[in-house]
Amino acid sequence: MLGVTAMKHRRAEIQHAVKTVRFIYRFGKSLFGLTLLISILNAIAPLIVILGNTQVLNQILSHQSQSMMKIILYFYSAAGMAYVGAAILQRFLDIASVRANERLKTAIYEAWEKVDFQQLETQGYFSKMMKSEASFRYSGGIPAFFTQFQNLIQSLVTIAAGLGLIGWIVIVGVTNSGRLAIAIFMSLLLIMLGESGLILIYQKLTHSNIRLFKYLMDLERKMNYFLMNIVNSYENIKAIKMWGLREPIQSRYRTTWKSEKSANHKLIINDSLSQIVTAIMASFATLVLFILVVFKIKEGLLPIGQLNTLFGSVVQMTSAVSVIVATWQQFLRFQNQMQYASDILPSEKPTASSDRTTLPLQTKNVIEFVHVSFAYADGPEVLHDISLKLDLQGVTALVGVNGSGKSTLVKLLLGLYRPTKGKVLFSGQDISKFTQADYFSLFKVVFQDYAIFDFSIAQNISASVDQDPARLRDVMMNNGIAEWADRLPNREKTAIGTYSQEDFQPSGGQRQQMAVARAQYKHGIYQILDEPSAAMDPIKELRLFSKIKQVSQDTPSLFITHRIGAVTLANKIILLRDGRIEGIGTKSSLLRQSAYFRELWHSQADMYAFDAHLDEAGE
Amino acid sequence: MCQRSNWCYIFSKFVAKYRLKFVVILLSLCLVESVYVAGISLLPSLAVVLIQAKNLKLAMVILTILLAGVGVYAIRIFDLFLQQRLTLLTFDFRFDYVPVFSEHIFGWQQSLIDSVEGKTVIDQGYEAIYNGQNVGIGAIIAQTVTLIRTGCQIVVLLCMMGFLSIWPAAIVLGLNLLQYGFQRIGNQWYFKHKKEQNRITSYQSYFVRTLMKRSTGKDIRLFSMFDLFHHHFMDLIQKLVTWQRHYSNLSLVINLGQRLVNIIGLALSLLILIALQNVSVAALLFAISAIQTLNLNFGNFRDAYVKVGKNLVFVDNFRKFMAFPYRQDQDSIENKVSGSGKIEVRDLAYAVNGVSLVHDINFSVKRGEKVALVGENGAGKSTLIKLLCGLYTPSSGSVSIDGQNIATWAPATMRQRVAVEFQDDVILHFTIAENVACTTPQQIDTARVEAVLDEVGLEDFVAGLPSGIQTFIGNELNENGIQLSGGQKDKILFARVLYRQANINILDEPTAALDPISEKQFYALVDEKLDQKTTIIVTHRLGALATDDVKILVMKDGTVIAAGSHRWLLANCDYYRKLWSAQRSLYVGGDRHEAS
Repeated sequence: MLGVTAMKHRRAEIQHAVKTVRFIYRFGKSLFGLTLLISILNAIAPLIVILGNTQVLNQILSHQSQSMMKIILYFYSAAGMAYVGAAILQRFLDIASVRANERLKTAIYEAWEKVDFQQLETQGYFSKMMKSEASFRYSGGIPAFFTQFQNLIQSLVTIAAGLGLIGWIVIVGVTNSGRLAIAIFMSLLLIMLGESGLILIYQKLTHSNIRLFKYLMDLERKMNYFLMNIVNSYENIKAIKMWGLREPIQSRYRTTWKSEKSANHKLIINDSLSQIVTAIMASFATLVLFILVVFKIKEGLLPIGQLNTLFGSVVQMTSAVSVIVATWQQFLRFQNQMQYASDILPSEKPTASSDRTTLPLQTKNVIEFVHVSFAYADGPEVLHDISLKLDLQGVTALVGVNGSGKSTLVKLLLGLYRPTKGKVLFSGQDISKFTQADYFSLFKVVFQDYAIFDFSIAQNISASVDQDPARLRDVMMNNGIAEWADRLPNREKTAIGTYSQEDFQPSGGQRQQMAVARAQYKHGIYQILDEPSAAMDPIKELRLFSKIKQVSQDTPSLFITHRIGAVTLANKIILLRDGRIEGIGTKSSLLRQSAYFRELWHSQADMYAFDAHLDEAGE
Repeated sequence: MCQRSNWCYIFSKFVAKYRLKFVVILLSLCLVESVYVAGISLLPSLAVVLIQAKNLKLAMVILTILLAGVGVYAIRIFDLFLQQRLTLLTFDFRFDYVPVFSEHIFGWQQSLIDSVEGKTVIDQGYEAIYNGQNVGIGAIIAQTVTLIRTGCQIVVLLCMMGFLSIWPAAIVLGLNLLQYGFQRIGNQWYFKHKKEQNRITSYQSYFVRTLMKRSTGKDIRLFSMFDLFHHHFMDLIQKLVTWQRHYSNLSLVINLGQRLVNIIGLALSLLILIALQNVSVAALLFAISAIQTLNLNFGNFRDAYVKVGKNLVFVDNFRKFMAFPYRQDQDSIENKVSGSGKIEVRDLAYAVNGVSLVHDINFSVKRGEKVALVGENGAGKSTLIKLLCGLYTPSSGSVSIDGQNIATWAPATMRQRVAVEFQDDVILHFTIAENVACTTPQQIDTARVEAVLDEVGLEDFVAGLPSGIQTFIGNELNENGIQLSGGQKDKILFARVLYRQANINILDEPTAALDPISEKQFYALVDEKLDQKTTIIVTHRLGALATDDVKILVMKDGTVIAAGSHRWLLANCDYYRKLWSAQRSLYVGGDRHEAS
């Protein structure tokens, strides 16, 4: 029964290995062929040398030294050519595996980019992302895979060839005498018994190895949190200093660190034990064979030179076996690590986009929420039964206290989220019928946590590789970017960030200008601004809202704000409270209808009211 | 080469750490492996001698060989055991630096952390310790040990072969030196060009980090930036593949050279051995095994040398990192400065790389006074805050608290006297209690934690949690961790301030993300809880400041252009009046609001 479980485990291992191979195959088809060839050549070359040496020895022993030069020449040239061939193929393999590795990495990153946004925000997906990235890095990627694969194949070929050579040495003379036949049979039996016992021990070690490794990866994730979110996130360090958080952080960090240290120790010991077991297996087999061969030589069945073949092959095979031992465990670990990467990639068939409708754009468009409710995955409902009709014209303000659901509403409007109940309509059609790309193209958005990336200013604004120069210039001038960008050596082609020589770091204000410019550059019919003035001083804030109003003739806009004063510039106000619509209207109509709106308004307006004399004095 | 000094640096650190233990294990390893390698090479010869001995019985032959074999292989097992011990040491050496790194970073000067140089050194210093056992300082030690071990074996074998005849040994040695020469060329190319590859992979890591910050996902999707990112990814791939191509071409030439030299060497040695007339079969057999083992060892020796070289590339940044001065917080030292929270700022100025960020700042704050700091972004407010709480050292001028220049204060004292809530403060994914108290769990005053949580209005929330204040936030360290809303985060951050009970409290834009009602409640809370304490608030929200008991400092272009109460400033400061009117116009006066 032990044998049966061992068989099952072995079959599972091989299935995993095959899965990994198929996964890698997607990225580098030619690599397998190359690796196979290289392995065979590398494995055969030393065996050729060994055979040559044995021939030489036997020639000397039989006092036939004439053709020795020729023997040496033939064998050693053959080995040399095998090595040369392997080296040339290796060059191609190295380049191709780097290329395949980078393509796999890019596939992972693009999977992150393209996944549905609602899913992206979940904690589950985030830990998938972290795992896929960390495991990939830890595994060494495709080059490491092919190194391991090469080692495996090379070792297998060595063992096969070696067994062939030794097999011949072992079998020869079996028919000569009963004594010999028994000796051969006994040796083989002894080897098989000894090896199977040792293999079982080795299996156990492999399993605890994998278990340890999984535990280690889990710890790595914790350590990664400390590294990425605390130590390497430079903005936090001033707070850590000022709050004395160093001690609590270090004490928790050390706890996790200690666990990882001891897990690693166990892993090292496990690896070493595997090596020891392998060495015992190899030496046991070697000794048995050695004695058998000595026996045969004494009996006159084999020339003494064959000792060289035996030993040479045994040395090659022993190192091959210990390579297989180390590599097989690494190979299985690799499969575990690649699992995370392959999980995150989309399945190979792209979804058919033929069932998508085209956008029904008209001169006047309307977005409608029909009894929309929304809850986050495993969370309570945050929007309840929202029904509203949004004419895409003029300026609309979406207001409410934090947690009232403003951002969520906008994300539903944009199609980043899907309603849990109800539907969102664009000009009468359910927006889920359109392709995301089409629907997104309608909107020009500036989020509160907008992102400016480390490539050129022009690319940040146009969100594309190339730009329409006139349009770009226009937008840059309109947003005050031309002022400072023109002074840069490369002007708008200057790359942002430390990864280029220019090392240009724009200030917060400059970044915001670029985010707004990006929204303007985009062709869309509706502009959405999420807390656009959050970090601005009063003068800039007023300028911004005035500009929004100005521009809204051509591009209607919606802005989210909790600056209640800003609603003065809006044609229409949507007031949210606790996930429901509290009221819709103009400022004066809401002041009349809604006590809640009045409270919000006066909590700020009252602070400015007493300076009525300023109105007469003027500016 | 300076790589040698790097190697000495790392190796001496390792030896200093383990001293006797390391020396004992290393010597034992060398001894054991020398015996093993001699034994394994002599074993076939022993067999030949025994077989050719005429008067030895078969059983004796077999027994002797068996004993010899078991002896040799037992030594091999012991060798593996010793290698394990050594691997544990080299692992510990690298891994023990992980918490040391964070210790250093937390103690660095803020100006260093804010600089690009500092960030780069941190990023690359980490490469030396964080990328697993095959890369970095651990690899340097491991491969150096391999060098020493294989070196020993090579010496032993060469000596043994020398007994036979000097020539084959000399040839093997000479040709291997030649192969080493080839290797050096490869190493030097690698050194020169590694930086280039680092730059490329560094940019790639930037993209990974950016994508992991999932908030960027909105812009990427809404602006359809896939093609743009794809363009950059492809560009990076092309650069990396090109680099690899150059390296592989060079490696190919070197490899070919090495392998041809190797094979020719083997053939030559064999020929020479044969030419020696009086060599026995046993000796010949020994020589052949020895040459093969020698070649293997030389190969390992060269590989180890290459690997040491490749990994020394990381040491430059590692050393730079370790060399930066950092403050080891001696929390026990405290200036027993009693005081009430009086602040005096004289002629304060601060510049970085010749660019002045603030200059000519003079003001004073009385005990218990409420001060507001207003001005546009880039006026220097954040810099002033960092100077006030001692994170930056002024270029000139001074900040004094209660008559003492804070430049002389230990950080622990600073923390006791001043509580600063920055705009981008984060909640750590530990327990709520730890986030409020900011100390290790043993030092938390749970009653006080619960009291301040009540004060900020979170008592119901906390009561509803299964583990109360011991609930974890975030799920990295505990699966049952919770997620907080933005408002709850802000409340906990303010609870931190209250828990600290410092004389001086500085809040940087505390209401930036708050809606009007919450903002109003916040200011009421501040008034109530920080009543007798000196409070400095940076804000754009001027409405709350229009009371007589707030002193307002107006900053523009790096200096304080006016200071006084709201009324006084309206009458005497044009700029302040402009700010006030602009904000006010949104609430009062109907639709007349043109930008000035």
